[in-house]
Amino acid sequence: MSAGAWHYDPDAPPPKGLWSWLTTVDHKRIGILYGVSAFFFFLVGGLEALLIRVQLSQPESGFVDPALYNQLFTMHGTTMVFLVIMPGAAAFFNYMIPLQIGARDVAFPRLNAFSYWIFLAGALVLNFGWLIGSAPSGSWVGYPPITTADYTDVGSDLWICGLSLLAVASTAASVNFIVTILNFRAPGMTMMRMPVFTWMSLVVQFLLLLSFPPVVVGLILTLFDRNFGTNFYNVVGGGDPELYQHLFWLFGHPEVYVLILPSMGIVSEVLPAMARKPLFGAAFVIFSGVLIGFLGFGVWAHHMFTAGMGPVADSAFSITTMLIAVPTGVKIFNWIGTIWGGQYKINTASLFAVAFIVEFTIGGVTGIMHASPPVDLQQHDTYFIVAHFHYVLFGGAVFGLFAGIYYWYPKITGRMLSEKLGYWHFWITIIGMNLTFFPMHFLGLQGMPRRIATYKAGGYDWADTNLAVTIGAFILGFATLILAWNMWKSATKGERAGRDPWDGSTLEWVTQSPPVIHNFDKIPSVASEVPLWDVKYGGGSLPVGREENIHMPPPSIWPLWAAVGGAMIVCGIMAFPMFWITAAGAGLLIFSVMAWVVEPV
Amino acid sequence: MVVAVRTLVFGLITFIAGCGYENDQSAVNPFSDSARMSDDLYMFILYLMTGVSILVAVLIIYAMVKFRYKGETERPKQVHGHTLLETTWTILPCFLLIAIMVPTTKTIFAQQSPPPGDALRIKVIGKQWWWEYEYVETGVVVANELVIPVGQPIYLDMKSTDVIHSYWVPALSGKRDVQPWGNNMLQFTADKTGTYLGQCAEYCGDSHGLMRTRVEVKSKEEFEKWLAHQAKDALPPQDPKVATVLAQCNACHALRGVLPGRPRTKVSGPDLTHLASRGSLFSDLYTLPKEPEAKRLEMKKHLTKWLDDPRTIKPGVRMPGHGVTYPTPAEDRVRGVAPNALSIEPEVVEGLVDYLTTLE
Ligand code: HEC
Ligand SMILES: [Cu+2]
Repeated sequence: MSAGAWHYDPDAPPPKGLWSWLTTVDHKRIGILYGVSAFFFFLVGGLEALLIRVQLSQPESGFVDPALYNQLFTMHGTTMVFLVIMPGAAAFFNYMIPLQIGARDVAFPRLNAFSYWIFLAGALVLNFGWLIGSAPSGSWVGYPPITTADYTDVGSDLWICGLSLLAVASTAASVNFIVTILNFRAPGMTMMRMPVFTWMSLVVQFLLLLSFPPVVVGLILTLFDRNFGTNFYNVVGGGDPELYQHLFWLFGHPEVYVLILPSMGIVSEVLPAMARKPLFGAAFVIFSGVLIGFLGFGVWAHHMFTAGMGPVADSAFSITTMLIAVPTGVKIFNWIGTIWGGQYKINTASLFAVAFIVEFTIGGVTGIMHASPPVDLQQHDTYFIVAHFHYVLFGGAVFGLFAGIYYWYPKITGRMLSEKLGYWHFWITIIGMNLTFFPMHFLGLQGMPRRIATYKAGGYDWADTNLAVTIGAFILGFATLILAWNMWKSATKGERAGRDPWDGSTLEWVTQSPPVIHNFDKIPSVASEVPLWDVKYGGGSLPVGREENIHMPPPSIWPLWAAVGGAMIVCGIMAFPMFWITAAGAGLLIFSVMAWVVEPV
Repeated sequence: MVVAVRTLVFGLITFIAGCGYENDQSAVNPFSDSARMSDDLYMFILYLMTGVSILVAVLIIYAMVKFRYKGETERPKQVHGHTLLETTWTILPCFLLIAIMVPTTKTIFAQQSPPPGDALRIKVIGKQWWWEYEYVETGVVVANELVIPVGQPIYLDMKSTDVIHSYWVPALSGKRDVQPWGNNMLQFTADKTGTYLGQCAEYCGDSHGLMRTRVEVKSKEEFEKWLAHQAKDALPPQDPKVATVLAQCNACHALRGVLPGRPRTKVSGPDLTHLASRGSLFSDLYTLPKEPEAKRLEMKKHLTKWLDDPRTIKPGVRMPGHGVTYPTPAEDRVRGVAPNALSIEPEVVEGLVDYLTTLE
């Protein structure tokens, strides 16, 4: 890599070995890194869930003590949101957006690598507490005073610092994708011809960019209170912990759409491909996605109806919240309209897409219930809410990602997933998911609050229901192992996929499976929102031959070092301030960024 | 395995039949005006939304089956949308939402209207991990068990001394956060005598799940009788050794008529004056039998253990035991306890416990 010597050879075999992964700037490899990390943490978060369920399977159980239980549910929530669904979606953003818009890579490939490494650093910081016996225990919302130094240990510092690193990762990635989507589209691909998955991803990037700043402010104020004696949330010192709740949910509600919109995008890709018919009312679907993102910033306080904001604020936030149901309903009906009159192919991907719609709808309508504050006063912080958001996040976001896995795995690996195992995975997941989460509605109505480590024997009739939920959770865990096995086995033994196994309409199906490093030999031009169908059925054509002098960026280790520096900065600030670590980290970060700037490209 | 399957089947039948809601902590079994308003609204939205879910599920499953791929070689008609249809299903839900919003807003204002003049005002203090109630007019202070008259408006004025809690007795009212930075209110009128259960609904640390409470709704006369009894002082112990030991408890507990003052700090514990008049111990961790002798024996058993090592009963609790040494706040900022330990000679323990069981 001597100065000026980098030249990309499109015919060279793909690089191999650990070093090639540590230095990769290829959006596809970074996508795979995100995907593998997300799946690993899915297993970790799932294990935490199972431990929680064993504890709750019986009343007055002593399987884990409350201190450990509190760490388990805190980390389960944090892991599933930040280390599973977000990077799971990021895996598809990375892999698919450049392919879908006909680009060779993202706008800033090394920034992209940096995002991944700093994400991984954040994930490790979050989980570091397990090693020292003090994982975060302030719940995934981390309301002070419980997260201040008087009530929780170093786990809260780890939690704040880990999340801050993840915020850096998401912010850098969002800028990267916004620039990529706005500037790197193939000739002829107007905004309204862009695939809906890319559209929804674009909305998500804006949500990330705008919603992380408030929560990071909220977190840093907690960090200062904990370590530097400030009084932002210290009531005696004139502080106001309720401020944190506003800052958190100003992020937290848009975050819900960050989690669900990518899956809505995936489903909007899978349905038309399987129905052999374009997305019904694509413009309505796109604009309702944008509207959801927009309204998502005006509803945060519906998480705080019990905080006592007064009847006027309660009514206002209730109304804005219900409004979101309108664009969401539009999407659902348009998806049904896509299948209607089509020729819907039944396979695991298409089944998960339909299951997404059904389960997400259930989660959506329970959401309307607690959008009404008088109802929410009974449901808030109970298992009813736990049921609601698992329908949205598991039945919704995760099912969407599952559909995405079955749909795009052939593109990523060049091989099909086993449909037989896929069906097993699907049906066992459906049974497990509904057995786990549906009865939780009843627990909530019967008065069971969430986040309780134990409950009384007799008196409430919760025991049978809880046992059923636990059985459901284990069924769900088993289903996930089937998926893991399927992905593992099919990577080498699966049927060859070819370029276009689903008769797709979008540009990713033009490329080889897996695509070469530069994706396209020549960038195709686009004349409608279904460019590949134009080619296959409408007399359009693809360019032939290869462009001369394709330029691709060289691998670089500096993004990784920069991320290490970033991690050192926050680690030094925590619990027992060791500022030399912070200083060294800052030095490393600056040096790495300089090195990456002067590196020849 | 057999047990699991049996429970599962039994459980499922229970859900489908919709029974099993009649426990004393159920949110859909309301016994006050406020809880009934929430429940009515819930049932209304539930019916509407069940309809919507079934509509969506039926439509999509029908579409999937009817329009499934049957090996056609020709592609279906390439429809891109239908503006009229799409506009319709954008506008129709708006009417549904208006139908929900109107009663919602009405109920919000009804539930949060100013309390009527004849309301019984009670201060509620939430602490890790128990509840204190102070009847404002009479100044009577009790812990963990709220007693109220039926048919009279109740006005709870709530505050926390440490972290955020949330006061929730589902049969009587929706929950409201209990915060260290300001007072929050709840009001309701219970319409049936009986015992209702509740518990803290906002995650508040180690023993969050054990921060329960009971509400006894009594007839007006019985309530007055109860209140007059609670206003009385306790009798001092006969045994001077017990009296000496009790002085240590005064750092945190009040025992009117026996110990001076009523300290109320961040770490202080429940008022013990009428401990044995309650139906439960340690914020309804143990419900006590009604029969006096059985009750006395139960209390004795639990209190002996409690005084020895309270954290085996309630993890993280900020009361020292005489059989253990918990870390001090200097050693452990989160779970530290001052003073270090109670010193009670073993032979005094029984006398102390016996005395506590007499605090009717
Ligand atoms: C450092 C403060 C402290 C001291 C000293 C202390 N306690 Fe406590 N005690 C508490 C706290 C706090 C609780 C409430 C714990 C809970 O329920 O979460 C409590 C609860 C109790 C209860 C249960 C009350 C109920 O409502 O069920 C009893 C009984 C009790 N203490 C007895 C004693 C006796 C007797 C002594 C003296 C020998 C004593 N305590 C000394 C802090 C203290
Ligand atoms: Cu609490």
